[in-house]
Amino acid sequence: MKQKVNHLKYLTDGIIIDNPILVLMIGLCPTLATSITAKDAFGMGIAASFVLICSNLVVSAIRKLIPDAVRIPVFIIVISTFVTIVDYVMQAYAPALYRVLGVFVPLIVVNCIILGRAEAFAYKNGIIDSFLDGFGKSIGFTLVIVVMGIIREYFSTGSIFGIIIGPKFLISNPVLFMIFPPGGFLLIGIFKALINKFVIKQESVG
Amino acid sequence: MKSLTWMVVSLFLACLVAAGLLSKVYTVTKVQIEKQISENMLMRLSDVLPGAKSFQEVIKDSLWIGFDEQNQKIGLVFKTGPRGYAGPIPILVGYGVDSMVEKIYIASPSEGLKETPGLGLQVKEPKFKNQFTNKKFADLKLLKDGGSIQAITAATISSRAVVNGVREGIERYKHYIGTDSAESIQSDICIDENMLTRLSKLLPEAIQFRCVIEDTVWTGYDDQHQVIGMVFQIAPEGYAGLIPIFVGYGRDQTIKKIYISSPAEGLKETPGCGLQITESEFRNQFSNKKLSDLKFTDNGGSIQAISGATISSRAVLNGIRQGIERYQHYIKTDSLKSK
Repeated sequence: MKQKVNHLKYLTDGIIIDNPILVLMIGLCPTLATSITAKDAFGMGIAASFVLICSNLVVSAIRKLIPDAVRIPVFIIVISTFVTIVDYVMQAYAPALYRVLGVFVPLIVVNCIILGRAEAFAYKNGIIDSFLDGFGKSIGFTLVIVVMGIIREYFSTGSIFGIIIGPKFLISNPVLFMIFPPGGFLLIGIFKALINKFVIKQESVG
Repeated sequence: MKSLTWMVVSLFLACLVAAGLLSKVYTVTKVQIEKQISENMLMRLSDVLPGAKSFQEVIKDSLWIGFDEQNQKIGLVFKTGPRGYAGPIPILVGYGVDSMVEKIYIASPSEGLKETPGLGLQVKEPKFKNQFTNKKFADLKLLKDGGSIQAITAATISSRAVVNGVREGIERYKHYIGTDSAESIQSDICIDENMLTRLSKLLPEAIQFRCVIEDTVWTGYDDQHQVIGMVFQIAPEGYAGLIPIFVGYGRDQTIKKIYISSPAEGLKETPGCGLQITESEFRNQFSNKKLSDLKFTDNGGSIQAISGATISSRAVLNGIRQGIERYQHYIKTDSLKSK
C-alpha cells in the first residue's frame, strides 16, 4: 500500500513540486523559443512529452546493459533515434500534424529535460516508475509552456490559440515585448517567484 | 579490460540497433513521405490556383502551368523567395491568365520560413496574405508605398519582402501566360517604365502593351483588349553605324510615329549632317504613311530626304520598310492566336 503511494508520487511530483521548468530549471531554451503562441507551445509540449516518455521507458529497460562510462552517448543515441522515428512516421502518416509540429521535432533532441530525466531517473529506476516520472514531467512541462504561450500570445496579439478575444486597445497596441526572449524570462521569473512563495518555501524553512 | 571491451561493444550495439531501426523506418516511410510531399505539392498548387485540374511543371520546382478540365491554360503557379527579415521567405503564387493574383501561399517554418514568430511570421496569417487575391501587378505595393497591401504592424520588412517577391515573380514568369490570352499585361518583363513611355508616344491610342519579341516587337492594345497596332525596333546600317529606330505601326497599316535614338543611345551619324534624321522635320514625314508611300520624292514616294545626308535618310526609310514587312503579321489577329 505504501509502495503504491510512492509510485504515484513520481507522477504528481513532476507537475508542481518537481516541475522541470520552474523547479529543476531545465529545458529553458525550448520553453523560451516555443512559448510564443499557445498553439506552438502545445505542439512542443505534446511532441516532447512523447519522446520523453518513450526515452524514459527504453533507457530504463536497457539500464543494466549500459556501462556507466558510455551511458550519456547511449542516451543521446536513444533519444535522437526516437526523435528521428517520430519525425519520419509523423511526416509519412500524419502530414497534417507534421505541418504543425514538424518544426519542433528536431528541437526535441536538444531538450535537456529528456536527457536529464534519462540520466537522473530512468537510469536508476524501473520501467513503471520511469514511465510515471516521464509522464509527470511531461505534464509539468506542457502545462508551464502552454500557460506561458497563452499569456505571451494574449499580450502580443490579443488572441489565444489564434482566436481573437482581447480588447481593441490591446490589438492595436500589442505588447510586443512579450514575444521576445525578455518577455519569456520575465514570465519564468514571475512563475518561479510564485512557486517559491507558495510551494517550496515551507520546505526550505523547515 | 573486460569493462573496456563491453563499453565499446555496448556502444557499438546501441549504434547498430539505432542505425538498423532508423534505416528500416526510413525505407518503410520513404515511399509514403514522397507520396505525401508530391500530394502536398499538388494540393498547394491547386490551393493557390483554384480551378486548375492539372499542372505541368515548366521550370523544375519553380514554375507550373495550370490547366482546367478542357485543358485550357488558366494560369501559372510560381515559387519566389524574397529576402525577408531573417532569411528568404518561400512563397507560392497563383497567377491567373487574367493577370490577377489568385492566391499566395507562404511556406511554414518547417518548410524553411525563418521570420520572427509573432512579428514577421504573421505574413502567414490569412489577414495579410488574402490581401493579394485579385490584385493586379500595379496594386501590389504596400499602402505606404502607394499600393493596396496593408503591411503588418512592426513587420514592414517582412511585409514588403512578400510584396516584392510576388512582384518579382510576376515580372519574371508572366510571359509564360502566353500571347493567346485576350487580356493584356500593363508592363512586361521587357517593358520598363522608360520603354512604356516611349511605346505610348509611338502608339498613342494603345493603353497597354505586350512584349512579343524581347526588345524588338511590342503589340499595343486598347481598353477592349483589342490589338490596335505594334511598335517595333529596327536598326538599319546608316552612314557611320547602326541607326536604332522605333516605329509605331497601326492596324490600319499606317505608320503612327517613329522615334530615332539619340547619340546618347548609340546613334553615330554625323552631327549637322546624318544626325538631322532625329529632327522632327524629317521624322514627322513618316506619320500616317503606308508601306507603299515609303519612297523618296525622287522615286514617286512622299519622303523628302535630308540634303547632304542621303545615305542616312535612305537607311531610315529602308529600315522602316523592312521592319513593316518583317513584323506586320503580328498585328493580324488570326496569326496572333496561332502563336
